[in-house]
Amino acid sequence: MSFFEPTSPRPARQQPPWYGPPEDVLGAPAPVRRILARTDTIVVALTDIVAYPSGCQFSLQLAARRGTLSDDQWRDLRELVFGERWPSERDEMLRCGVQFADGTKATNVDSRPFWDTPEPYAAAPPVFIEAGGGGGEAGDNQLRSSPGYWLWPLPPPEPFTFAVEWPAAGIELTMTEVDGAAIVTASQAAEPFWPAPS
Amino acid sequence: MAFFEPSVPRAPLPPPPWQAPPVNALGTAVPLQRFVVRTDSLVVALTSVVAYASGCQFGFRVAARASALDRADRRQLRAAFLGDYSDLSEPRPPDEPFRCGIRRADGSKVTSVDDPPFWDPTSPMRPEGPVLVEFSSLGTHIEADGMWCGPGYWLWPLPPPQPFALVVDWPEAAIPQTEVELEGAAIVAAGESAEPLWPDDARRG
Repeated sequence: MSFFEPTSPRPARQQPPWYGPPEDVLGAPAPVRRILARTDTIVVALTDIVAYPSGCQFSLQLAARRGTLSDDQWRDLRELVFGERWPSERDEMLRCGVQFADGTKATNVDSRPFWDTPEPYAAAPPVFIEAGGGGGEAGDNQLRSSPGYWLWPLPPPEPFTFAVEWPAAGIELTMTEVDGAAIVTASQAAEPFWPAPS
Repeated sequence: MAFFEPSVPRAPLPPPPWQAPPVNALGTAVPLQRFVVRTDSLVVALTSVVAYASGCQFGFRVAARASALDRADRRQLRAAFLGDYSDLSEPRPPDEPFRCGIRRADGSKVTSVDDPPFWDPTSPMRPEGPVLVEFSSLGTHIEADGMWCGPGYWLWPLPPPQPFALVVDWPEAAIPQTEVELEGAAIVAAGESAEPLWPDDARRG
């Protein structure tokens, strides 16, 4: 009698749709390039929104310039831009989120990333979490970081509000209108990488 | 008396325009995403094109699906993705990266494996261009059901406002030379609409 049971193939774990953009779908952009907020040292810009059938990804660009900041101030700013903050300093992070016409909202403050959720966890829509960002660059005088945020599910096909606020960086609450219909339309052009199993 | 003089802080130079996007500009995304290679097991997708006044950035996703590959192909792909040739019984092949290139309508070309131009910051000489360099790549991810990586490139200057060929290959990963046609005019128009991050900053965007 064998001690070890024969292994049976396990189905691959499916990524829950609220967790981030699907890894095997070519999303379609709904181009919206806009500077959302600007101070003398920091710019927060929305560079594009890429739509998928299950949601959409907001790409932000955070840029900082040194100007006349001291070494310490510049180091602080760098930590802020790259999100190098302890959990107790969470209120210093960039806040962003959406609000739909019916008043429903979802923000990165009230949505928790997957690694910070109890198991099992069923997210209630809508969810807006940091996911799928690009990299960053740090120079002596300028910093750039490209965080990404995932909205699940797709927004309603009507205008909605995109809000950012970053008190620690001197950025007040700023609301920008985004066209939900353009995102929903773009999502129809998204294409899966692999053919559906037959 | 000190032998070594105290160092004087020098203002760093911004990267030359053929090495990276301008530092004081917000680029414009151009909706040119498409599949370049698409088989049962391998995908090369052009996922993003971002245009600036001085050039444009290309982002790819190269993905392989493990379930559609046999063991030998999986091993070969894994080695290509990781640059890992741990099988000592095989002679180590040269590191061949994913390659990308541009062929313009007049037949001139530039590739990501051309020698980078020599830059002397004290000289006003500039390379003739075009230049294509790796920029802002996303690393390799190996997962239970597959693997992917995200090569990225910077092209300087902008292409002419005409159709041009974007060419890729990756012999190590069994990706044959493949090309797609892109519309240069769309990229040029987007590049013209890029805006400065700080309008008061004298550095050109």
